Amino acid sequence: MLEYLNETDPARFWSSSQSALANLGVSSVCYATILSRTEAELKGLAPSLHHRTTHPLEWLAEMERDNNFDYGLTLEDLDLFLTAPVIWHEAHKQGLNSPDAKRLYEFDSDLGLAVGATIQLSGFDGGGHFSAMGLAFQDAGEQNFHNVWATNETAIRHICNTLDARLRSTQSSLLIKLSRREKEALTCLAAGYRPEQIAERWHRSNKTIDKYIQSAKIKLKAPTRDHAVAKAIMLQLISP
Amino acid sequence: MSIRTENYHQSTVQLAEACKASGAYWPHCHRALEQYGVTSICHLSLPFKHEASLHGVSKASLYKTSHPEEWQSAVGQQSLDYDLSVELITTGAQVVFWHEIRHGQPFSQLQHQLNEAELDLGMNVGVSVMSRQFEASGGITGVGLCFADMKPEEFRRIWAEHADRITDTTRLLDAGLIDNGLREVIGLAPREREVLCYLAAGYRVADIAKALHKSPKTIEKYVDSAKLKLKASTRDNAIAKALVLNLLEE
Repeated sequence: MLEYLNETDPARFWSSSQSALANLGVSSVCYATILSRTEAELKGLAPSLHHRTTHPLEWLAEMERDNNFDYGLTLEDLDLFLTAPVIWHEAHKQGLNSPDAKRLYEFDSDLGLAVGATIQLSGFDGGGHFSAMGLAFQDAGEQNFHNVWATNETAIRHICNTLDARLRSTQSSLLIKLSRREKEALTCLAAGYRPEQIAERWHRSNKTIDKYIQSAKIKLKAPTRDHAVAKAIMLQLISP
Repeated sequence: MSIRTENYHQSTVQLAEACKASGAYWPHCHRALEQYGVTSICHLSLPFKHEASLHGVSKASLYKTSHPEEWQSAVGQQSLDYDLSVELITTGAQVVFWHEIRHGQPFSQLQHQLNEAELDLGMNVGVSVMSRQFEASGGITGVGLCFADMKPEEFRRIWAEHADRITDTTRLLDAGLIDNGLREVIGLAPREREVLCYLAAGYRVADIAKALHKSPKTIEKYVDSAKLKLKASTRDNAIAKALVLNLLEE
């Protein structure tokens, strides 16, 4: 079952880890990470977050439309490291959620995302990153969820922790897919080239280089060039 | 020459403790190496391999050396660019003995000039040791040890007997310098480091000024001095170097 851990091809690594989770009763997932607390202080949670999901497309569209990925949480909420999972249907029943989150829960239920759990994989503690995994158990139902969870929690956490480590390093292209040109432009920036110098080197117009840098910034959710370069290095997307 | 072990006898553990207690890795390790006949050393951090081929090792690396001033200025403060042992280390060699690489023809006039200067200074015997390799960037750190005016046979005898202790000491020096954010090499001020952290997290100069209750001009000053210390041509370059060398960690 753990053969996928040796998989170096990102796409195959992702799909085999999903099969491993499916064997443990997981119907779909959403992985989310925020690379630095300082970044989230500046931009807010949702705009700092990078994710990869197998939840239905309608769900993703809704999240992206309103930037609802944070479910109304604040940065301070994320500082309280949660060792226990947040069980979706229980959190909803206990009325812990804001009206906004309630509306979202009903929307989630319609898409078959009523039963599941969110587990925290790592927390900020000083200079660290935050990451969490939402796990849907569509087939289990509320009755059976606790049995499935009690039996499989250890194995599921193990897989999720591995995903967390890989998605932020060697397999980060699963999170952010930069084109070859975008990577090369960021690499040159990291090595000290100015955009004009890159243009000259590649025999392209300044406008073309700016276009590569802009699209890389958008993919990296980076408001500044410095930030785009820093993120690309931290995620090992480039090796200058 | 005789090894002055009785004057300065320290086990590697004791040395490590002394370094850690004082935070001064450079003088302690330097003195420890001197007891094996080392006359001067150079610690070098090259964050990006790629950059060295663009701008030369001297400009692309952050280094500290006790080699004579005449060596440093032999080819206009760019001696590291023409140092064959550095080139071999950056291409993956773990240990390079200086007297073994001097037989070939110099590549250029400047290379020849440097070789001559090194002969004049008695710097023809020594060893360069790679300390670490940065997986993400292909960068390296390493230490060069000069045994000035020593005969190769004498050096070989010392190396045969003490290679482990000598390389342990270079490793300790490297670990100490890097773990302390190269404080003893470039001395990034806390404010400069803080400003780089904010830039890396996406803050603009105006955002940082607001967060730190300073004027944008003051922030610009910190950025410029950090760039200077990191020998960075652009802000992106400064941040990239600082990240690879772990200078932004608390």
